[in-house]
Amino acid sequence: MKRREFIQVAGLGSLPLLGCKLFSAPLSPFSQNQPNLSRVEARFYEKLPDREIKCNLCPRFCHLGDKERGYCGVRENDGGTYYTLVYGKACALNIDPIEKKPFFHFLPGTQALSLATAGCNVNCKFCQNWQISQVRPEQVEAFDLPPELVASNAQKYSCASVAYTYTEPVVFYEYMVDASQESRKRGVKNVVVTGGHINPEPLEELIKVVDAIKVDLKSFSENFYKEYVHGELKPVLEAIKLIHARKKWLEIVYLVIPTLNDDVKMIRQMSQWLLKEIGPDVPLHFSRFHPMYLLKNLPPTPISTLEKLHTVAREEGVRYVYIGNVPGHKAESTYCPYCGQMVIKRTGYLVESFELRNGRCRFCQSPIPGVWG
Amino acid sequence: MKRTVSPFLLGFLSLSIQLLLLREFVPQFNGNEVVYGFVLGFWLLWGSVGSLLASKFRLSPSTLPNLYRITLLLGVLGLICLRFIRFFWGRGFAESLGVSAAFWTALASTCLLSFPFGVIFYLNVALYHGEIALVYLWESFGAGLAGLVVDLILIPRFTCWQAMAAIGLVALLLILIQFYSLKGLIVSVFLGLTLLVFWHFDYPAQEVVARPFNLLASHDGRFGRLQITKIEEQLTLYHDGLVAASLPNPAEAEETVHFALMQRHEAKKVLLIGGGFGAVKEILKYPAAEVVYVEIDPDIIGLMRVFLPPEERAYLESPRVKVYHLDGRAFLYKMAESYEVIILAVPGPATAQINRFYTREFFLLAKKHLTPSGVVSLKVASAENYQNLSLRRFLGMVHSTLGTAFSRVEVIPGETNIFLASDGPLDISLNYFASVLKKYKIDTQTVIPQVLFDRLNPWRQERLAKILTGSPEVNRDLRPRGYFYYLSFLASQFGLQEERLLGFFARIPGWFLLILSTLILFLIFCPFLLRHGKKVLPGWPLLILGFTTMMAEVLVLLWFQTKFGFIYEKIALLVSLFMFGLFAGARLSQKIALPPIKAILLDQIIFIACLSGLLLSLPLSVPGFVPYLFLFLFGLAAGHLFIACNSPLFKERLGYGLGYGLDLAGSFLAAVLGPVVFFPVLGLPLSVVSLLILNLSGLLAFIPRLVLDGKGS
Repeated sequence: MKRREFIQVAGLGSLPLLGCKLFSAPLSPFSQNQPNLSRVEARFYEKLPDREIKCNLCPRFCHLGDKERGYCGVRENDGGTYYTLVYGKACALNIDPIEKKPFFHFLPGTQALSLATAGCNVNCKFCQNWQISQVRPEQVEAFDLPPELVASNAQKYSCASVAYTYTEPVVFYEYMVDASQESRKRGVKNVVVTGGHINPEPLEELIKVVDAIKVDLKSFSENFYKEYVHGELKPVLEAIKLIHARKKWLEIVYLVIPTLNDDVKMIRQMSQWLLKEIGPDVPLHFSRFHPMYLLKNLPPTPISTLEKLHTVAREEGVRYVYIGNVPGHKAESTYCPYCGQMVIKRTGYLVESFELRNGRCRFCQSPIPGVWG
Repeated sequence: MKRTVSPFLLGFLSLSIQLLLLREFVPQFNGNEVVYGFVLGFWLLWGSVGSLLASKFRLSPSTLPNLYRITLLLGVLGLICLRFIRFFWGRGFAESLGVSAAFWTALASTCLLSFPFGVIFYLNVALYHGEIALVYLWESFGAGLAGLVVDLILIPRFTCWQAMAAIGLVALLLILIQFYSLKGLIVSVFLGLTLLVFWHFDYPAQEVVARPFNLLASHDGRFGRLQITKIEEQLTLYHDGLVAASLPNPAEAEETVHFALMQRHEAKKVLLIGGGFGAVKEILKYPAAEVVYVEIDPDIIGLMRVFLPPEERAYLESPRVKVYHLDGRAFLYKMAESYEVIILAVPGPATAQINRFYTREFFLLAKKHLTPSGVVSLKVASAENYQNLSLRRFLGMVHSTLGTAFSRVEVIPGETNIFLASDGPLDISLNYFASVLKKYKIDTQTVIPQVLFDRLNPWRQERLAKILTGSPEVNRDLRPRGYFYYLSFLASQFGLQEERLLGFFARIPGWFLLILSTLILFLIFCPFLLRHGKKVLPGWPLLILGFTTMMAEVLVLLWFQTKFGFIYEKIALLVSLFMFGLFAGARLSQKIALPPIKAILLDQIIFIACLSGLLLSLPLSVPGFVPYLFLFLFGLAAGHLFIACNSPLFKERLGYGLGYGLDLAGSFLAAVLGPVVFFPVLGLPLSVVSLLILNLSGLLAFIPRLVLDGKGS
């Protein structure tokens, strides 16, 4: 052990008595991976006097001094220039069925090359990917995956699309946009799985280069957003409206957490709002919650609750309502709203039968909205 | 007789309240070794501070009866505050509170409850004009008896608040016996009525905390607090605040059972350790299988049975199911039967106690009970898309530990990882699972090819394999690193500071721990040394004594559990026996008067002999009485040493509370560092070696004085 290391160790060793929170991060010899950070200038920010900047990417509008990072932890002001630290630095990469995102009306039965970098602009207490979303990029093991490689890998592994997912892709906006453009050049589509915390201007730009967006609407209550998401509902609703207005394929997922966001009255209001603002054809998925992260001690959502909410949304006129995370449930499948026939049979993540011809129900020829091929 | 009541009450009340505080603390903070360390450590620290401060301010013993009554009230108040602590931290019933919240709550609640006991110790010694042996003797006896009364009589029968009320009523009576006055009688009657009201409000308070869940039942039993809630059809059983079972939840039960059972689908004998509700039903889907279900806590089945739908209850009552209420390890020690499949469905190893099911020794024990190609299966928390460093280390260690006992280990990826180990063939390919499900018509909802094709995706398997292979660490009974890594993973959920702190200890060399703890002990001692000079030197062995006895006590408890299993009554008896050892040691010091220096030397030698004996015994198969003997001997030497060290301190008029304060300060350090750092990082044998070195240093420090004394005489 070198002298310097010994001094660090000795210094740290005396700290337990003072309480964990006093522990100083930069001293720690533990768990810091070698920095593997990018230094690509970020978009959507304003330069301010005294080397300060204001980030305009998401509704947090972080106002940052020199050497400070935004709430997301992956964008840093260095001398008055704002940089993204995760450009081309993926930390999770998988090939997932598109049904897992879930997209049910977008290229069903295909695979999506799914990737994420560290960071997130909210802090959901029920996050499935907290080990990468709630940390800084130095704290994860990332690897270099430049946009060209994203596109070529998608092709290589016969993925119909690239999915920007797991964490909040808004925080790696520049990377996502460039990778989408590269993928497009090779005929690979792009889908975004987002919480919808993004400002209109960057969203407009994003919509131009991607093919579908799934928004996680986490509740229809500002209070819930404040307490359990550390975010706001209003910008999410605005984003949903904008995506639909630009005619980009949109699906909405609502994770039903028992006792926290499963109020029938609220779901009715939400369904009415969706119907009014984006019409009846945007698929709405009610997903079953499984105990996760800081809400590990909640029970899973009762199936009857999901079914009740499914009924409410259908009653309000939403045409394509699904129940997710319950393999084998009949509400996993797509039914023609005109003739009532099952047109796509799904079990788990597998499409077992597909009864659409040119986007129309094989039984009654009515159009079923979606991106089918 | 009357002379003994007050110190007896001190010991009785302080240990009772400490045990009840811990019982209330655990369900709120999902107890693990860190939480236990905080509560016990701060309890001892505040006791020490109380004793030292009282010594400084020289309070009058006339305040004793009122102080006892105030302490009782604080006990009640403390338990109420803890029950509603979630509201203070702004968290709902089922939300995790985190390590920082546990730290600050433990600090505050133990200050409220333990500080007065430190003061009371001082006042008792003052009351008996410096007869510390008398006070210590009866305090130890009171604590020993409290351990037995609370653990064996109150906890199995009453709720936490009811137990507190019962203890309070006994305490009020004893206060009246010792310090009778009319005013005191009136106050006692008023307090007694308050306690009776308190008795009735345990369940309503739990209902308030559980909202918006509908609390169907609650039971404070020997193994913790069980609560059952219901929303819609979803029935959830909580054990000490953690979900123990939630029905219906086929996903959980199916993954626990089928990956293992599909390997040996014609199994006739299946052993299920823990986690029975949904799992029994799933095992019975294999027509040949008979289930032996081992569940340590009979209350779990007893309470759930009332609320289970009839069809779920029928599975537990099937003639193909045998239920045993025993610790899983104790069961395997006791029984001789062999099984084709052993399914381990215990929680993650957040405590040293649960870690016993993740060690090489346990896997070897399980192997003895497996047929030659039998399969053992266990399930641990993981992550589907990315595993952080703490999780990787933990998973890697589970994998390598299984690998030391079995020739084949396979792992199913996912949000939870299912480890399968066997000396026979294992096949975790999608084709294999799909063919077994189809051929034997096993009806499942989530373990189906339509989901498995994603879960068994080669990318995920390959990445997981990279993480798992090559870990050099093995989790052993005598070096239980598993819970340390698991705690580190749990801590990472609440921020990286806590994780880093544990990670730091994982990296440092063992000798540094010894130096660190000696340094901290010395830093504690320094202010006294600077103030009083060499007069205070007899206090140093007391500090080491506190550290040694606390470490040794916890270490022997842990060792006992690995050798003989967790047997509630025996654990309670072990703890009490240590207290009775203290009592006997103190009594001995009254009977046989030795010069203090000689007595200290003798006790140090006994300590060193006991520690050496313990060190030699750790790896051996010892008879059941040996751990009891060790704890009694440690208590005996500690009781004797305490008196021996205190008399020179008294002679120098350094205050009645100083010795007690130093003893508790040493214990505080051991409670915080022992189970959380020393045992997992150094292992049990090296921890004992550290204690030996520490005690030898104490011994060496006194030899020159003894020689000088000898020359002088």
